[in-house]
Amino acid sequence: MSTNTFERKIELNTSESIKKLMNVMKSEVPTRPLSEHPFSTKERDRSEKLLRQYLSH
Amino acid sequence: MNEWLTSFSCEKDEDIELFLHYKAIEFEKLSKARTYLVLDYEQLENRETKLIIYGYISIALKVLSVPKKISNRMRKELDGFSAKIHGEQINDFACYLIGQLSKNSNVKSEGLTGEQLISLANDVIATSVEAVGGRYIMIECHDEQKLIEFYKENYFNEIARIPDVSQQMVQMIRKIS
Repeated sequence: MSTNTFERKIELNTSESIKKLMNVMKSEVPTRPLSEHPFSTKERDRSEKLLRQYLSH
Repeated sequence: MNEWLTSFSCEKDEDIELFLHYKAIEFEKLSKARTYLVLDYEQLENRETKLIIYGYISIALKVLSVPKKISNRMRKELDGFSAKIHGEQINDFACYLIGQLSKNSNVKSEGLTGEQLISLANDVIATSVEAVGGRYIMIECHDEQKLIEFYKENYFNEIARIPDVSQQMVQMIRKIS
């Protein structure tokens, strides 16, 4: 991981990279769902409230 | 808050540690990324003196660009719908970026795994996908076999290698829809 990743433009320039990307795109989406428990707004609000309370304690 | 965040350490990658210490709050304020800390609900609710940061993830939106020279057929495959919009070639594709992901080296606990961290990132991204769509997730990791294998096991595929400050980074992508 690198902080620079947030800043730089992600650009594929080589034919090899494009080919690899195409192979990914042609492949099937994994059958396993991305998430079985999406992070809900309710959970987010509760967590943020608890953290705020903790930090002001 | 800042002082508390410095309790997080990442022995294997100083950049991950410094991001949480000095950048995460700024990125949050600018909406450049969202950072999620892995904490213990009981410690939070009981307001225990020492609140441990077990790990964290940072997620952002990015654009993946491809050269103009690629064929329209490939472009359409990437977009999923069309190669052009209003007669203009589509060269940029939106993706989610898991920009940081790490356990806290200071916590000698077997409780949190890399798989769990990825799963947490997916939980956050899944909510966004439900709301606004999205087809790809990207990560960049150091060129280390163990790391690459870890992401492969979590459905990421290598697409490119690029130079970074200290060493080569491997760019990997996951198709999600």
